[in-house]
Amino acid sequence: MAVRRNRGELETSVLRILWSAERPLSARQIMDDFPAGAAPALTTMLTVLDRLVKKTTVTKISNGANGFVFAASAPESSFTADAMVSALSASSDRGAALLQFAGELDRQDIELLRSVLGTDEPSE
Amino acid sequence: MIGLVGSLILAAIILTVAAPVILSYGAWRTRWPRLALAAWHTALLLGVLCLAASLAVSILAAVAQRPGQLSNWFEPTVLVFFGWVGLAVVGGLLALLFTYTEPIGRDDRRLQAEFSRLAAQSTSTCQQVHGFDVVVVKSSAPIALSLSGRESRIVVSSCLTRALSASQLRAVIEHERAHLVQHHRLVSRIAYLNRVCLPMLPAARQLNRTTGLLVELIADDEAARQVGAVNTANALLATAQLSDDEAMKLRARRIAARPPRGSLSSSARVRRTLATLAD
Repeated sequence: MAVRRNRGELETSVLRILWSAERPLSARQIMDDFPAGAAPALTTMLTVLDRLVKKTTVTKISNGANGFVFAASAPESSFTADAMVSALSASSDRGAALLQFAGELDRQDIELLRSVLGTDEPSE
Repeated sequence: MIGLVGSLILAAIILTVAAPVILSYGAWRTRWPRLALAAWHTALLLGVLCLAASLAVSILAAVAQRPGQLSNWFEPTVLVFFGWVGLAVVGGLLALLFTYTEPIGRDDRRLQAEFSRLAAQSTSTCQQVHGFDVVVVKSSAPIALSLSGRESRIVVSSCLTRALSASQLRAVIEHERAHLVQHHRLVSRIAYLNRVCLPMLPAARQLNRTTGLLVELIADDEAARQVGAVNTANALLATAQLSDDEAMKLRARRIAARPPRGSLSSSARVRRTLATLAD
Protein backbone atom coordinates (compact mmCIF):
# COMPACT_ATOMS: atom_id res chain seq x y z
CA MET A 1 0.00 0.00 0.00
CA ALA A 2 1.28 3.46 -0.87
CA VAL A 3 2.51 5.55 2.02
CA ARG A 4 0.57 8.80 2.53
CA ARG A 5 2.91 11.80 2.60
CA ASN A 6 2.55 15.50 2.04
CA ARG A 7 3.39 17.06 -1.30
CA GLY A 8 6.51 18.89 -0.09
CA GLU A 9 8.04 15.65 1.19
CA LEU A 10 7.35 13.89 -2.12
CA GLU A 11 8.89 16.73 -4.11
CA THR A 12 11.98 16.55 -1.92
CA SER A 13 12.30 12.79 -2.49
CA VAL A 14 11.84 13.16 -6.26
CA LEU A 15 14.47 15.91 -6.47
CA ARG A 16 16.93 13.83 -4.47
CA ILE A 17 16.42 10.85 -6.81
CA LEU A 18 16.90 13.04 -9.90
CA TRP A 19 20.04 14.60 -8.43
CA SER A 20 21.56 11.21 -7.71
CA ALA A 21 20.66 9.79 -11.16
CA GLU A 22 23.25 10.04 -13.93
CA ARG A 23 20.64 10.44 -16.67
CA PRO A 24 17.10 11.72 -17.04
CA LEU A 25 14.50 9.34 -15.62
CA SER A 26 10.92 8.52 -16.52
CA ALA A 27 8.17 8.75 -13.89
CA ARG A 28 8.17 4.94 -13.51
CA GLN A 29 11.96 4.85 -13.10
CA ILE A 30 11.72 7.50 -10.38
CA MET A 31 9.06 5.39 -8.65
CA ASP A 32 11.39 2.36 -8.84
CA ASP A 33 14.06 4.33 -6.96
CA PHE A 34 11.79 4.87 -3.97
CA PRO A 35 12.34 2.46 -1.06
CA ALA A 36 10.20 -0.68 -1.25
CA GLY A 37 6.56 0.12 -0.46
CA ALA A 38 7.20 3.86 -0.27
CA ALA A 39 6.59 4.75 -3.92
CA PRO A 40 3.52 6.93 -4.57
CA ALA A 41 0.88 6.09 -7.18
CA LEU A 42 1.76 6.93 -10.79
CA THR A 43 -0.85 9.70 -10.99
CA THR A 44 0.56 11.28 -7.80
CA MET A 45 4.07 11.03 -9.21
CA LEU A 46 3.00 12.72 -12.47
CA THR A 47 1.29 15.51 -10.50
CA VAL A 48 4.42 16.07 -8.39
CA LEU A 49 6.62 16.11 -11.52
CA ASP A 50 4.25 18.52 -13.22
CA ARG A 51 4.48 20.88 -10.25
CA LEU A 52 8.28 20.68 -10.22
CA VAL A 53 8.39 21.40 -13.97
CA LYS A 54 6.14 24.45 -13.45
CA LYS A 55 8.51 25.69 -10.75
CA THR A 56 11.40 25.19 -13.25
CA THR A 57 13.11 22.97 -10.68
CA VAL A 58 12.81 19.97 -13.03
CA THR A 59 13.10 19.84 -16.83
CA LYS A 60 10.74 17.68 -18.92
CA ILE A 61 12.45 16.11 -21.93
CA SER A 62 10.74 14.28 -24.80
CA ASN A 63 11.89 10.68 -25.16
CA GLY A 64 10.29 10.03 -28.54
CA ALA A 65 7.72 7.26 -28.58
CA ASN A 66 8.57 6.38 -24.98
CA GLY A 67 6.96 9.53 -23.60
CA PHE A 68 8.88 11.92 -21.39
CA VAL A 69 11.84 11.76 -19.04
CA PHE A 70 12.71 14.21 -16.28
CA ALA A 71 15.96 15.74 -15.04
CA ALA A 72 16.85 18.24 -12.33
CA SER A 73 17.30 21.67 -13.89
CA ALA A 74 20.60 22.21 -12.09
CA PRO A 75 22.95 19.86 -10.22
CA GLU A 76 22.79 19.73 -6.43
CA SER A 77 26.34 21.06 -6.17
CA SER A 78 25.24 24.37 -7.71
CA PHE A 79 23.15 25.16 -4.63
CA THR A 80 24.92 26.10 -1.46
CA ALA A 81 22.50 26.36 1.39
CA ASP A 82 24.35 29.27 2.93
CA ALA A 83 24.07 31.41 -0.18
CA MET A 84 20.44 30.42 -0.70
CA VAL A 85 19.41 31.13 2.88
CA SER A 86 21.12 34.52 2.74
CA ALA A 87 19.48 35.32 -0.60
CA LEU A 88 16.09 34.19 0.67
CA SER A 89 16.31 36.26 3.82
CA ALA A 90 17.58 39.28 1.88
CA SER A 91 14.67 39.02 -0.55
CA SER A 92 12.04 39.32 2.14
CA ASP A 93 10.24 42.57 2.68
CA ARG A 94 6.79 43.50 3.87
CA GLY A 95 5.28 42.65 0.50
CA ALA A 96 7.02 39.34 0.05
CA ALA A 97 5.90 35.84 0.83
CA LEU A 98 8.62 35.33 3.40
CA LEU A 99 8.34 36.20 7.04
CA GLN A 100 11.42 35.96 9.22
CA PHE A 101 11.86 35.27 12.90
CA ALA A 102 14.05 38.38 13.03
CA GLY A 103 11.22 40.43 11.56
CA GLU A 104 11.62 43.49 9.37
CA LEU A 105 11.56 46.10 12.07
CA ASP A 106 13.22 49.45 11.44
CA ARG A 107 14.46 52.31 13.59
CA GLN A 108 10.97 53.73 14.20
CA ASP A 109 9.66 50.34 15.37
CA ILE A 110 12.65 50.05 17.71
CA GLU A 111 11.99 53.53 19.10
CA LEU A 112 8.35 52.61 19.71
CA LEU A 113 9.32 49.41 21.56
CA ARG A 114 11.90 51.33 23.60
CA SER A 115 9.38 53.97 24.61
CA VAL A 116 6.81 51.32 25.55
CA LEU A 117 9.35 49.41 27.64
CA GLY A 118 10.64 52.62 29.20
CA THR A 119 14.23 52.17 28.06
CA ASP A 120 16.27 55.00 26.56
CA GLU A 121 19.47 53.05 26.13
CA PRO A 122 20.05 50.17 23.70
CA SER A 123 19.32 46.81 25.34
CA GLU A 124 22.21 44.93 26.88
CA MET B 1 -28.25 62.13 -3.24
CA ILE B 2 -25.32 64.53 -3.35
CA GLY B 3 -25.60 64.78 0.44
CA LEU B 4 -25.32 61.01 0.86
CA VAL B 5 -22.38 60.73 -1.55
CA GLY B 6 -20.66 63.67 0.17
CA SER B 7 -21.22 62.12 3.61
CA LEU B 8 -19.70 58.82 2.51
CA ILE B 9 -16.64 60.55 1.05
CA LEU B 10 -16.30 62.66 4.19
CA ALA B 11 -16.49 59.52 6.33
CA ALA B 12 -13.70 57.94 4.26
CA ILE B 13 -11.54 61.05 4.64
CA ILE B 14 -12.17 61.24 8.39
CA LEU B 15 -11.27 57.56 8.72
CA THR B 16 -8.07 58.08 6.72
CA VAL B 17 -7.01 61.04 8.81
CA ALA B 18 -8.33 60.09 12.24
CA ALA B 19 -7.64 56.35 12.35
CA PRO B 20 -3.82 56.62 12.31
CA VAL B 21 -3.91 59.32 15.01
CA ILE B 22 -6.23 57.34 17.30
CA LEU B 23 -4.74 53.91 16.66
CA SER B 24 -1.13 55.08 17.06
CA TYR B 25 -1.80 56.70 20.42
CA GLY B 26 -0.30 55.09 23.50
CA ALA B 27 1.26 51.73 24.23
CA TRP B 28 -1.90 49.64 23.94
CA ARG B 29 -1.03 48.32 20.45
CA THR B 30 2.12 46.57 21.71
CA ARG B 31 0.16 45.11 24.61
CA TRP B 32 -2.75 43.87 22.49
CA PRO B 33 -1.19 43.57 19.02
CA ARG B 34 -3.95 41.36 17.62
CA LEU B 35 -6.64 43.87 18.58
CA ALA B 36 -4.54 46.70 17.14
CA LEU B 37 -4.02 44.85 13.85
CA ALA B 38 -7.76 44.13 13.59
CA ALA B 39 -8.58 47.80 14.31
CA TRP B 40 -6.14 49.09 11.66
CA HIS B 41 -7.41 46.76 8.98
CA THR B 42 -11.06 47.37 9.92
CA ALA B 43 -10.42 51.11 9.46
CA LEU B 44 -8.93 50.38 6.04
CA LEU B 45 -11.90 48.19 5.09
CA LEU B 46 -14.42 50.80 6.28
CA GLY B 47 -12.64 53.52 4.30
CA VAL B 48 -12.69 51.41 1.14
CA LEU B 49 -16.36 50.49 1.71
CA CYS B 50 -17.33 54.17 2.17
CA LEU B 51 -15.63 55.15 -1.08
CA ALA B 52 -17.10 52.17 -2.95
CA ALA B 53 -20.59 52.97 -1.59
CA SER B 54 -20.28 56.65 -2.59
CA LEU B 55 -19.30 55.62 -6.11
CA ALA B 56 -22.10 53.05 -6.36
CA VAL B 57 -24.71 55.55 -5.08
CA SER B 58 -23.62 58.26 -7.52
CA ILE B 59 -23.62 55.87 -10.50
CA LEU B 60 -27.02 54.41 -9.59
CA ALA B 61 -28.50 57.87 -9.05
CA ALA B 62 -27.10 59.13 -12.36
CA VAL B 63 -28.41 56.08 -14.24
CA ALA B 64 -31.84 56.36 -12.56
CA GLN B 65 -32.35 59.93 -13.78
CA ARG B 66 -35.04 60.30 -16.45
CA PRO B 67 -34.90 63.09 -19.09
CA GLY B 68 -38.18 64.51 -17.81
CA GLN B 69 -36.76 64.93 -14.30
CA LEU B 70 -33.97 67.24 -15.41
CA SER B 71 -35.53 70.43 -14.05
CA ASN B 72 -32.66 70.51 -11.57
CA TRP B 73 -29.58 69.97 -13.75
CA PHE B 74 -26.96 70.55 -11.04
CA GLU B 75 -27.34 67.35 -9.00
CA PRO B 76 -27.36 64.89 -11.95
CA THR B 77 -24.37 66.67 -13.51
CA VAL B 78 -22.36 66.41 -10.30
CA LEU B 79 -23.34 62.75 -9.83
CA VAL B 80 -22.42 61.82 -13.42
CA PHE B 81 -19.15 63.75 -13.17
CA PHE B 82 -18.29 62.09 -9.85
CA GLY B 83 -19.28 58.69 -11.24
CA TRP B 84 -16.94 59.02 -14.22
CA VAL B 85 -14.07 60.40 -12.16
CA GLY B 86 -14.60 57.63 -9.59
CA LEU B 87 -14.59 54.94 -12.26
CA ALA B 88 -11.40 56.39 -13.76
CA VAL B 89 -9.72 56.35 -10.33
CA VAL B 90 -10.87 52.76 -9.69
CA GLY B 91 -9.53 51.74 -13.12
CA GLY B 92 -6.20 53.43 -12.38
CA LEU B 93 -5.95 51.75 -8.97
CA LEU B 94 -6.77 48.33 -10.45
CA ALA B 95 -4.06 48.83 -13.09
CA LEU B 96 -1.58 49.81 -10.36
CA LEU B 97 -2.65 46.83 -8.26
CA PHE B 98 -2.09 44.47 -11.18
CA THR B 99 1.29 46.05 -11.91
CA TYR B 100 2.46 45.36 -8.36
CA THR B 101 0.72 42.01 -7.89
CA GLU B 102 2.13 40.35 -11.00
CA PRO B 103 5.84 40.55 -10.00
CA ILE B 104 4.89 39.48 -6.47
CA GLY B 105 3.28 36.33 -7.90
CA ARG B 106 6.41 35.66 -9.95
CA ASP B 107 8.59 36.10 -6.86
CA ASP B 108 6.33 33.69 -4.96
CA ARG B 109 6.86 30.98 -7.58
CA ARG B 110 10.62 31.58 -7.53
CA LEU B 111 10.68 31.35 -3.74
CA GLN B 112 8.63 28.14 -3.77
CA ALA B 113 11.15 26.64 -6.23
CA GLU B 114 14.11 27.73 -4.10
CA PHE B 115 12.49 26.28 -1.00
CA SER B 116 11.95 22.97 -2.80
CA ARG B 117 15.65 22.87 -3.69
CA LEU B 118 16.66 23.83 -0.17
CA ALA B 119 14.49 21.08 1.29
CA ALA B 120 15.85 18.51 -1.16
CA GLN B 121 19.52 19.19 -0.47
CA SER B 122 21.35 16.21 0.97
CA THR B 123 22.52 18.36 3.90
CA SER B 124 18.94 19.28 4.80
CA THR B 125 16.72 17.44 7.23
CA CYS B 126 12.96 17.69 7.26
CA GLN B 127 10.38 17.01 9.97
CA GLN B 128 6.70 17.77 10.39
CA VAL B 129 5.39 20.01 13.18
CA HIS B 130 1.60 20.31 13.39
CA GLY B 131 1.24 19.64 9.65
CA PHE B 132 4.01 21.97 8.47
CA ASP B 133 7.34 20.92 6.98
CA VAL B 134 10.20 22.22 9.10
CA VAL B 135 13.41 22.08 7.07
CA VAL B 136 16.76 22.44 8.80
CA VAL B 137 19.41 23.61 6.32
CA LYS B 138 23.14 23.77 6.82
CA SER B 139 23.93 27.44 7.15
CA SER B 140 26.09 29.64 9.34
CA ALA B 141 23.47 32.42 9.42
CA PRO B 142 21.11 32.53 12.45
CA ILE B 143 17.96 32.47 10.36
CA ALA B 144 14.43 31.12 10.59
CA LEU B 145 11.93 31.78 7.81
CA SER B 146 8.43 30.80 6.87
CA LEU B 147 7.00 30.72 3.40
CA SER B 148 3.26 30.54 3.00
CA GLY B 149 1.40 29.37 -0.04
CA ARG B 150 0.19 26.05 -1.34
CA GLU B 151 3.20 24.41 0.29
CA SER B 152 3.79 26.30 3.49
CA ARG B 153 7.21 25.60 4.94
CA ILE B 154 9.42 26.70 7.77
CA VAL B 155 13.18 26.84 7.28
CA VAL B 156 15.58 26.94 10.20
CA SER B 157 19.34 27.22 9.79
CA SER B 158 21.67 24.72 11.46
CA CYS B 159 23.37 27.66 13.17
CA LEU B 160 20.15 28.35 15.05
CA THR B 161 19.55 24.69 15.94
CA ARG B 162 23.02 24.55 17.52
CA ALA B 163 22.65 27.84 19.39
CA LEU B 164 19.20 27.22 20.89
CA SER B 165 17.90 24.65 23.32
CA ALA B 166 15.13 22.30 22.18
CA SER B 167 12.48 24.44 23.92
CA GLN B 168 13.83 27.67 22.47
CA LEU B 169 13.92 26.13 19.01
CA ARG B 170 10.32 25.10 19.47
CA ALA B 171 9.51 28.74 20.30
CA VAL B 172 11.10 29.82 17.02
CA ILE B 173 9.07 27.21 15.11
CA GLU B 174 5.86 28.21 16.92
CA HIS B 175 6.54 31.86 16.03
CA GLU B 176 6.87 30.95 12.35
CA ARG B 177 3.87 28.62 12.55
CA ALA B 178 1.77 31.50 13.94
CA HIS B 179 2.68 33.53 10.85
CA LEU B 180 1.44 30.69 8.63
CA VAL B 181 -1.70 29.74 10.57
CA GLN B 182 -2.87 33.33 11.07
CA HIS B 183 -2.24 34.29 7.42
CA HIS B 184 0.17 37.08 8.27
CA ARG B 185 1.51 37.09 4.73
CA LEU B 186 -1.93 38.02 3.39
CA VAL B 187 -2.35 40.77 5.98
CA SER B 188 1.15 42.14 5.28
CA ARG B 189 0.52 42.01 1.56
CA ILE B 190 -2.74 43.98 1.83
CA ALA B 191 -0.90 46.68 3.78
CA TYR B 192 2.01 46.62 1.31
CA LEU B 193 -0.23 46.91 -1.77
CA ASN B 194 -2.21 49.68 -0.09
CA ARG B 195 1.06 51.57 0.47
CA VAL B 196 2.47 51.13 -3.04
CA CYS B 197 -0.87 52.05 -4.66
CA LEU B 198 -1.40 55.11 -2.44
CA PRO B 199 2.16 56.26 -1.64
CA MET B 200 1.04 59.85 -1.02
CA LEU B 201 -1.17 58.87 1.92
CA PRO B 202 0.60 58.93 5.32
CA ALA B 203 -2.09 56.54 6.62
CA ALA B 204 -1.10 53.94 4.00
CA ARG B 205 2.58 54.18 4.99
CA GLN B 206 1.67 53.92 8.65
CA LEU B 207 -0.59 50.91 8.10
CA ASN B 208 2.23 49.10 6.31
CA ARG B 209 4.78 49.90 9.02
CA THR B 210 2.41 49.01 11.86
CA THR B 211 1.37 45.74 10.23
CA GLY B 212 5.03 44.66 9.96
CA LEU B 213 5.55 45.28 13.67
CA LEU B 214 2.24 43.87 14.90
CA VAL B 215 2.49 40.54 13.06
CA GLU B 216 5.85 39.94 14.74
CA LEU B 217 4.45 40.78 18.18
CA ILE B 218 1.40 38.55 17.57
CA ALA B 219 3.68 35.65 16.54
CA ASP B 220 5.86 36.24 19.64
CA ASP B 221 2.76 36.12 21.85
CA GLU B 222 1.53 32.93 20.20
CA ALA B 223 4.93 31.28 20.65
CA ALA B 224 4.86 32.31 24.31
CA ARG B 225 1.42 30.74 24.74
CA GLN B 226 2.58 27.49 23.14
CA VAL B 227 5.99 27.01 24.77
CA GLY B 228 6.09 29.58 27.56
CA ALA B 229 7.21 33.18 27.92
CA VAL B 230 10.63 32.22 29.30
CA ASN B 231 11.53 30.00 26.34
CA THR B 232 10.27 32.56 23.82
CA ALA B 233 12.11 35.47 25.46
CA ASN B 234 15.28 33.38 25.70
CA ALA B 235 15.00 32.29 22.05
CA LEU B 236 14.65 35.93 20.99
CA LEU B 237 17.58 36.98 23.18
CA ALA B 238 19.86 34.19 21.99
CA THR B 239 19.07 34.89 18.31
CA ALA B 240 19.49 38.63 18.90
CA GLN B 241 22.94 38.05 20.35
CA LEU B 242 23.97 35.98 17.32
CA SER B 243 22.85 38.65 14.87
CA ASP B 244 23.27 41.74 17.10
CA ASP B 245 19.64 42.66 16.52
CA GLU B 246 18.34 45.43 18.76
CA ALA B 247 14.68 44.89 17.81
CA MET B 248 14.76 41.22 18.87
CA LYS B 249 16.24 42.15 22.26
CA LEU B 250 13.39 44.59 22.80
CA ARG B 251 10.84 41.97 21.73
CA ALA B 252 12.38 39.59 24.29
CA ARG B 253 12.06 42.25 26.99
CA ARG B 254 8.46 42.91 26.01
CA ILE B 255 7.55 39.24 26.41
CA ALA B 256 9.45 38.99 29.70
CA ALA B 257 8.06 42.22 31.15
CA ARG B 258 4.45 41.48 30.30
CA PRO B 259 3.91 37.85 29.28
CA PRO B 260 0.77 37.40 27.15
CA ARG B 261 -2.27 35.89 28.81
CA GLY B 262 -2.13 32.11 28.82
CA SER B 263 1.67 31.94 28.64
CA LEU B 264 2.63 32.30 32.26
CA SER B 265 3.34 29.49 34.64
CA SER B 266 2.49 30.33 38.21
CA SER B 267 5.77 28.98 39.54
CA ALA B 268 7.99 31.41 41.40
CA ARG B 269 11.00 30.23 39.43
CA VAL B 270 9.43 31.24 36.13
CA ARG B 271 8.47 34.63 37.54
CA ARG B 272 12.02 35.20 38.80
CA THR B 273 13.51 34.23 35.42
CA LEU B 274 11.14 36.58 33.60
CA ALA B 275 11.97 39.42 35.97
CA THR B 276 15.68 38.88 35.29
CA LEU B 277 15.12 38.81 31.54
CA ALA B 278 13.05 41.99 31.63
CA ASP B 279 15.76 43.97 33.48
